[in-house]
Amino acid sequence: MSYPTPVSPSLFRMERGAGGDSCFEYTGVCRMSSYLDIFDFSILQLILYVALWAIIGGLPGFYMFYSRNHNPRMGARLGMITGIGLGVMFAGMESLEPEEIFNNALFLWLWAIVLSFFIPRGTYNQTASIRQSVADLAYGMLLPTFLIVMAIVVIPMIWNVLFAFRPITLRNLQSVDLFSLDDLSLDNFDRVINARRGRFWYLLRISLFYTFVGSLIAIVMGLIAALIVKDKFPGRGVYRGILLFPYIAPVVAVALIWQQMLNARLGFVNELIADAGGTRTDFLTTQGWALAAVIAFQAWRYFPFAFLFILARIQAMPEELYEAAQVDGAVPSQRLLYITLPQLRSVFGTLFLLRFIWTFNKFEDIFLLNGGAANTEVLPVQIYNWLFARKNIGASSAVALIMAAVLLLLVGIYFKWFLVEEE
Amino acid sequence: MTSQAQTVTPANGIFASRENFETFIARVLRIMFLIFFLVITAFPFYWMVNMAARPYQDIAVHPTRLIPTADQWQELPNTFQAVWEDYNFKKYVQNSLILSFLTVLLTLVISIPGAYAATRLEFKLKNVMSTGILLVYMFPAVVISIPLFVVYTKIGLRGKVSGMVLIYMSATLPVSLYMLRSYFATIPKDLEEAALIDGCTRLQAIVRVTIPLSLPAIVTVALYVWMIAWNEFLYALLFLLDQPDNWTLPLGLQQLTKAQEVDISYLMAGSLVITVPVILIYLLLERFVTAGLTAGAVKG
Repeated sequence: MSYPTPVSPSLFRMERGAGGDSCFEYTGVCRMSSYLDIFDFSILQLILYVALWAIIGGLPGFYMFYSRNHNPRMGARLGMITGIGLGVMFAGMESLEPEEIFNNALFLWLWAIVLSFFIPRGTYNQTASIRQSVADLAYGMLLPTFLIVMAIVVIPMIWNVLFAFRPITLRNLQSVDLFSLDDLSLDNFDRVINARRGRFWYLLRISLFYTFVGSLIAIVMGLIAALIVKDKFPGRGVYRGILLFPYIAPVVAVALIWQQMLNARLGFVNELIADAGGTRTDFLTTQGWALAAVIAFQAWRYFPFAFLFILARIQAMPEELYEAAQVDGAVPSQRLLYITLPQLRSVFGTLFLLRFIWTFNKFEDIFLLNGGAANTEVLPVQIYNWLFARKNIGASSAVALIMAAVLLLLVGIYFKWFLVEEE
Repeated sequence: MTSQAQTVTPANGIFASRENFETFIARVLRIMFLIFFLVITAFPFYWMVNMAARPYQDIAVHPTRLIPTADQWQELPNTFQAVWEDYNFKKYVQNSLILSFLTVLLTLVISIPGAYAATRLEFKLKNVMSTGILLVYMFPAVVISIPLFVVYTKIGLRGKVSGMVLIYMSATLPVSLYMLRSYFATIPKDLEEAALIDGCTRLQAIVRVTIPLSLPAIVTVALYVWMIAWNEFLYALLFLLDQPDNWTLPLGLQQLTKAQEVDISYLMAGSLVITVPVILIYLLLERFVTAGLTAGAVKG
């Protein structure tokens, strides 16, 4: 058996995907690096990291000792050692080589210990009330979470709104001032919506259809699965475990096996169809079939989620209800319709909301299956394409903003009119 | 239940009553669906193994051969070896392991005190914080990714491990807090107060009382965070693509599918390398994983 030569990164340069449309270029990132190797920001980065991690490590330690009338200086010192050590270790870390991580850690932790002796003695307030000191402790303990969420989620989100109104591309990224407010305009929205003559609205409808139908099928499948698993049978535990496989398995792997199974030439599904006398179809890139295939994938991958919730609710239902109904002459179909399903209403409501939000925002599934070919380019995939294929950050942000707005609107409508109250 | 059914419908035979008839139909449907769900969930994974075992020539000639031959099974270790060494999966596994363990460790270090504060301590913004956690948790990853990409590029964090750990932490912190908080609430307050009265500091009380008692929840959170970090693809694609040395398993596998002339069996072996650890951990620690799925509902 001969092994193929190792894959070198040069293989991963620009590659044209299906359809020939310019938006189907996915791997343009390697080429992009020339635009992005800008300044050496390593010092700024170091300061940022040390500060961030010092706060993360330092404050909880400080507060913990402070509030318990212990030596605040010791607490601060311990916290700072951890914080600065972690910070410098990470900032200096360029790759995932274990040796490098270890060396960085060892060397810089020593530095951190030296530095910690310069921390001033804490001013411990004898008169602080217990209530106040408890609250201080709480804020201190929550601060790291707060900071990380602010830095990685909230501030970027606000920034994204700004980007949507500014002409920023990957090409002018190095010269553009990220904090400027002088060049605000609606050009990005105009470009995103009108660039392809109504295609945007068409694809928005497709996104909504995909999300709605996919969520619905996933929940219905979850319901059926829960109904058949709720009563005991030999091997039920194992069976239940297997049903969760699609949900826990990595998306990259399952998308790949779906691609292979649906492949027109050698795919298992197409072979069966061909054996039965049907015509081979490339399900993932044929108009119409592609949408059905991605919906099927989404339902397959996420029905276990609905299954778990519905099963838990069904198993919590009182047995007496069913017995009483049976005595009154209710047949199985009536027991299902009038006893089981009404009790599941609130679970359905929650599940649908969660699945709808997550599916609408989901990028990986369609990107990995067919890259948005054959009119399955849902909004998250469009965001990616604007960013990488067309290198337009502003336009990409504009689509993201529209997506968030649509989602907010729909969730608002849901809460106003369709929310099922838990009794 | 059965005895009551018999008193209501004494007649036998499936057409004797509607009860009997529907019970029969339900039983048939149930068996059909049991088989259906088993096939759709298990078969794709079996097919992964199947295609990994067979060389391309065999797949081309017998696309639907259900069980590989004995010779082909013997080739399987060679395929794995090729994937492991020639296709760099050794490096990807190492990267994924380091990245996911760092994420788990740091998320726990930060979320345990946070969750403790949110359950045990009184402060003004407690309710605001609870709502905030849920809001952040609902947030679309794609929307945040653009500004993060820009900022990371500007400050040179793109392609670095540290940047990835930070992002994964921000993605898992809200859920971890939420899950730990609901568990901490079930631990009796008296135990900790007793420890405090006996002279423990708050920190000692947490380390000696709260953490040991909430070990199941901590394991659940750790597994949940690990699975997110191990499976994550979008951020890895955005931030690590130009650094092949730092590629994680999902990214490495996806890039391998884009490369020309790679045999399907290698791709499938690669898929197994990434899938099997998850499935194994799930099977070994099913109780904890399922608890994590229902309590936090893996974002996805």
